Amino acid sequence: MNNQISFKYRRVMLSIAAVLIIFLAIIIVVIMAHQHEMFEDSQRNAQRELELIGTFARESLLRQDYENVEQFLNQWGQEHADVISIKATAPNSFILADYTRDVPSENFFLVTKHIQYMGKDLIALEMSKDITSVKRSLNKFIGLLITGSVLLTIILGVTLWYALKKLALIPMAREIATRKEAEKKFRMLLESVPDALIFVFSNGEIIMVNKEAEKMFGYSREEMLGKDIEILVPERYRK
Amino acid sequence: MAKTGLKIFAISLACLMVFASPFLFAEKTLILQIHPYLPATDLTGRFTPLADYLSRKIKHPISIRIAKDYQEHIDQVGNDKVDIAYMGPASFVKLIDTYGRKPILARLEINGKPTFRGAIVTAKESPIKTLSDLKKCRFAFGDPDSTMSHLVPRFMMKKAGVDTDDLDGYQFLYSHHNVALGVLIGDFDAGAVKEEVFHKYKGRGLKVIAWTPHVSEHVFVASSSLPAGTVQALRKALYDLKEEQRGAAIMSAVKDNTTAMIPAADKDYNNLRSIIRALGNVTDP
Repeated sequence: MNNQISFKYRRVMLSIAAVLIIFLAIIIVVIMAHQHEMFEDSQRNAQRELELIGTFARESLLRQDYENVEQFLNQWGQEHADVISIKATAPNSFILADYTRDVPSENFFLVTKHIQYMGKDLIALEMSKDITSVKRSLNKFIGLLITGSVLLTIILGVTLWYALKKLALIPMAREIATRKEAEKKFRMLLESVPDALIFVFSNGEIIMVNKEAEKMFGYSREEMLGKDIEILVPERYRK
Repeated sequence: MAKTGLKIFAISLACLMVFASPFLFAEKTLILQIHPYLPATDLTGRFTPLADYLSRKIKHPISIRIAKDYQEHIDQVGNDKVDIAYMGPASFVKLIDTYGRKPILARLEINGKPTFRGAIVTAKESPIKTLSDLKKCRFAFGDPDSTMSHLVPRFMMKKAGVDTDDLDGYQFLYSHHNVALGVLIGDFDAGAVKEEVFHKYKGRGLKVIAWTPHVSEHVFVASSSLPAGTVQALRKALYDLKEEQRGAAIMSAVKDNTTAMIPAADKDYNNLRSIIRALGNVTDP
């Protein structure tokens, strides 16, 4: 009976753990999808930024104001903390502008744009952008989300466990204890009776005997339990 | 009696004007104008320490103004619309030849020399080696009134037998830096720049075909309407710069490697004057 209860407890625990794991898995999938979306957004924004720079560069180059392009790109790089490098290369491979930030970064992506006018290449723009800050904020977000989820699952599990215990397990354990007590009392009563008492199933199998029965028939309790009642009848009277 | 009264009144008025003029003048902010050889923000940054220094020395506020183009600069100075002007040598010659003499304050001395030169440049890998190779080439000039990015190089080219008609085309890019970059980027086969600009872009692939002769350095002039005392005070302040504690920084902000501001005379620009006269009216864009 005890084994049966602990088995049931284990099953409840396992179910809660499974819910937690599934919940975490869903969160991780959501986070990864969100992360992917954020990186794609950053790339799209950087591409739009480069197109804007390209429009300015095209105008200046058509006015042959090369110096303006060089200054503008260097200034753009200096004033945008997420720009790691920005480079403008002419069709003859001359590098018109090449701004590189001193602080290196391992988390970056590259966007390029070829600026043309009436089919003629004017300049190729290349910009690399740092995504460390995006990653950092994502990681912070992931951390918060996982911690929150674990806490939520634990609270949920504890609440479920408490409710289950209140509604089912405690009454069940109480019932078992009552039954055990009743059985104990019955046994005590059985043993204190001055007569020999033997309980048998309908098929004649002995299921309970008292001390007086042991004394009367000369068999020990172990010898009698599970045997047929007929063993107590002399052989000549048996069927 | 009435006549005597009128005389007394006239004399009193004259005296009042003479004594009050420094106070009236003291109210006015002097204008230091610069020709647009670099971007306006760059020029304002370069000349602000000098304007502050001069303001302190002559006890007059001085503000900076950047001219729209070289011609406007010459006209404004010629018509005494500005009080102090920083001028390129060719603009100075044009100013004197058009509007007559103006008080010269000082000229720059770079690394101990009061003259400078320019260069006709091309890209390192270019087959152009001499001035005569420039025929059928695309050429970039700076400003039509610029000494080293147009006038002197154009005179040299003309002397070498290459007039603008012999070129495949030419354009005024209005900045020495644009000329250098236009050549490097491949839009032009050659161009004309001053020496300091050549040195800046040398490492990026520029080479010299020919050096120009030396001409007198850039000059500060004053308006003819400025009181003689103020002109003298400005001259002294400029000459004293090399002795000042922050003088070197103020001067090198105006132009790299400036070591002093020294006296100058109109005749210092005679070699350039003869070049400009020989060229005639070639400043058409």
